[in-house]
Amino acid sequence: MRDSAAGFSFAVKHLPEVEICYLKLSATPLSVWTAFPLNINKGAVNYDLVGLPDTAVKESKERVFSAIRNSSLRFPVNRVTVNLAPADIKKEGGQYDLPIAVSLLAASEQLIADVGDYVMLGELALDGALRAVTGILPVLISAKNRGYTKFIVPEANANEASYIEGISVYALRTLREVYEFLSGSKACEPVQVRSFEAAKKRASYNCDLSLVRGQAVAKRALEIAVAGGHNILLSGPPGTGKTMLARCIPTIMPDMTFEEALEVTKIWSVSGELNEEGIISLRPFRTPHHTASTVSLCGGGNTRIKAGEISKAHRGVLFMDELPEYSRSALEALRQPLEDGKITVTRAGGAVTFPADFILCASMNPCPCGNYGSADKQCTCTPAQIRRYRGKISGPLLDRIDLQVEVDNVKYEELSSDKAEEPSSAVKARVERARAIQRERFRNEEGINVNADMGERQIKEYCRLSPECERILKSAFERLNLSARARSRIIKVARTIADLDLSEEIKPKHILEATGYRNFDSTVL
Amino acid sequence: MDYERQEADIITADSFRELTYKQKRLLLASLKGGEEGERYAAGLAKVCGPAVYNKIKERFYDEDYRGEVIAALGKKRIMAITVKSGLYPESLRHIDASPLVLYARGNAGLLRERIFCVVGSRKTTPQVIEECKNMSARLSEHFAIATGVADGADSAAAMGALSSGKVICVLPCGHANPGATLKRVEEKGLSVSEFPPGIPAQQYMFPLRNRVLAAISDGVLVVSAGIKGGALSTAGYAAEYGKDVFAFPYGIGIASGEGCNNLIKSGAYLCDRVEDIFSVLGVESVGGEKEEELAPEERAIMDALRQNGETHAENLAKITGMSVAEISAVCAMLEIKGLLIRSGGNKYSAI
Repeated sequence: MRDSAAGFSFAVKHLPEVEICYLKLSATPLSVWTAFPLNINKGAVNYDLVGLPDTAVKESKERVFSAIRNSSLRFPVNRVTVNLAPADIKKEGGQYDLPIAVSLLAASEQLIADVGDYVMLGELALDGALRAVTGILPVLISAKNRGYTKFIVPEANANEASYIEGISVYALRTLREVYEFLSGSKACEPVQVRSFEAAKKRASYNCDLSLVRGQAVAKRALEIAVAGGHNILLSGPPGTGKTMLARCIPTIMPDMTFEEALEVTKIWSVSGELNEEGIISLRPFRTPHHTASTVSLCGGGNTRIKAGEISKAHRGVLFMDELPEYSRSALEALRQPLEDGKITVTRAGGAVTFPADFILCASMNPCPCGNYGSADKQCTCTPAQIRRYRGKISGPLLDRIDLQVEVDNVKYEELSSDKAEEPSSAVKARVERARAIQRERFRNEEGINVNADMGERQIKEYCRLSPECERILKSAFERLNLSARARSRIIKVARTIADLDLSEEIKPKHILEATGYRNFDSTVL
Repeated sequence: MDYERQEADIITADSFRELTYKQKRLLLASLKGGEEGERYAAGLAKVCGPAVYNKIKERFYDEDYRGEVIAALGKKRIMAITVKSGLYPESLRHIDASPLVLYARGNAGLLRERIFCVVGSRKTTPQVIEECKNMSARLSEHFAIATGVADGADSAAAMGALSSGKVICVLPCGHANPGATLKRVEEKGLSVSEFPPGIPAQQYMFPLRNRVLAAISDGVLVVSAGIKGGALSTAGYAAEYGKDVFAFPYGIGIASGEGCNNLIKSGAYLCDRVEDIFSVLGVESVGGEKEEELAPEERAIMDALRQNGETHAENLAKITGMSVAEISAVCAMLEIKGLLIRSGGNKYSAI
């Protein structure tokens, strides 16, 4: 590119800003260009940064200046224009420091190398050290798909970058090292590819179903929920272990595949919440507080659209404690992602789609005082209060929660008994078996992986009910005062129960058990 | 709907909100004419003042006003059953200050049936709610069920009786737009009030309503009641009118049952099955308890429940040797058959 009157410029290729790159996979790669335009007032030093930079990028001027000086290199004394192209994409964050600095060095001919082959990311400290940046993984993945194979990243990001095969990632500590590496005066080995399996072994959940005493009914419901990917609502008095049960859900979910782990890691990476390991190998478990705003749950932001809690719970569990306490708008906003497994956040700056395929586990008290239905404690709420409390959860939201189960007070004797409880691993084995059946069943169905994803058409096709089951379902509806929309939920859950039972057809007992998980459908008098 | 002159007089008299019950009576008595009528008219003028008296008298004889009052009732599909009407319950005539008019919406023919009253408190345990529904459904085979419209036991009684449609809700206020429960009641059953439409409920009106409930019924069943409460006031009126009072028995320390136990202590019939009521009121119940065919595992669970009372699902599993999943399935079947209910916290109890 010869766009300057001064005659020459040099390009350092650099990939688009992380979110855009990740979310709009077809985004054009960003490049950094440095030029020395014709300087009319010879001797005047001028340094311009153009191409729609945000504040953090503009400030990179100072960081880059200081870092170059402190790396025993020369900052060009001239009129300098750094152009971040294409100009219509807003550039955000500190990760442009390194490419800008390298571009300056190359343009001023201090660095003679083919720097355009490298994709570089990194923020510079004033002393020239490279600081970690967020969102490395999505950049690597999308750049790899575009045919780039050589990357320079800060050493602190090395772990995160080490899980992708087929590329060479160089993790370096300082700008000086980058300079020496690129100019060939110092050799450097690419980061060794690490295996996901090993990372998985190193990580473990810190809870287990065997630590939960009693609660056989709730445990069974969790097993069904996970096996069929159903959302679940736990209701019960305060202090009955709803949270503890919920925390166990990831432990009985099938292990994440590498692809799933990458999906999750991408989101966590751009959110800057990645751990030391550099990859998320455990199912996420997110517990946003009930004061959380709609935006924090679903994602948003003005210039830089960030993923919300529901996306951070992707492939894992979103636990919403005290469900009725969440704001109405936050609850209603969950409906669409629960249906689609993703959320599109639209702002003036553009629309961004985040994945949000999670199991929703919600918990609530049965009534405002918490003792409704409890045998030993007296409920002090009036039926109207209870209805109002439950009414905070709208019908359409409840429609998307297939299982509603009561968690009850555990007796002291049970808490202290030594009776062996089933460990998570045993439950997980059954869940995996049921999931395998479902994978086989939905082989030809686009976008449907588990029973919970079934629509009306699939229910008709895969959940044929025998006349006897139909009869039972009908009498259950009449007798138990169920709302009409409970029907497809009961059938879906019955399908999962049959799968857990390794039964091809849905038997009466499966339907019957499924009707048992419907507390909130019957009316309160 | 057309009313006879005499009935129209009563309806018009009842529509004056500024008059008390006694004054309305005086107004109607003054119509008799002659010396006696004059005396009543003078009496009325004295108690409410000549200005009010003249205004009322003018409106009373104003045909437009009379037409409006009756048209307004018709528009709301409300039938006015005056003391002169054949539908007016006989037993209601014999109480003090019997209502001048019963405003009714729905199937007014129900007032001719034998009526039994089922009441209880708003705060009633789920088990009793269920029991109340069943009992009310069984009773409605032989009686029209009279009850209030409150949440809890009253609604349960109404819902239970809705299966046969024989349900009479007595309102503590004038008719207004009905709520969800009342709407369903009025489709098949009947709602009744002694207050002209549009009058909002006030505290003093509830005991008045209770006296109507007690008066029109052959007996009163109190399914739940705290130490104080409306259901007890209904039972009190029933006793006063010489009606039979029944009450559910409760265990010790259940607040929503203390009133019931007190009733039994002071002589109410203890009622734990519908036959208790049938035998006292002389109803030949046909069929009685239907013994359903039970599968072996269903039988096992029912036996365990009968023996241990309210039992947790896990304990049932322990007793019967089934898994919790199986227990859930079998109990759901039994619940559909109407033999047990869930009493919260994953506990079950037999009915």
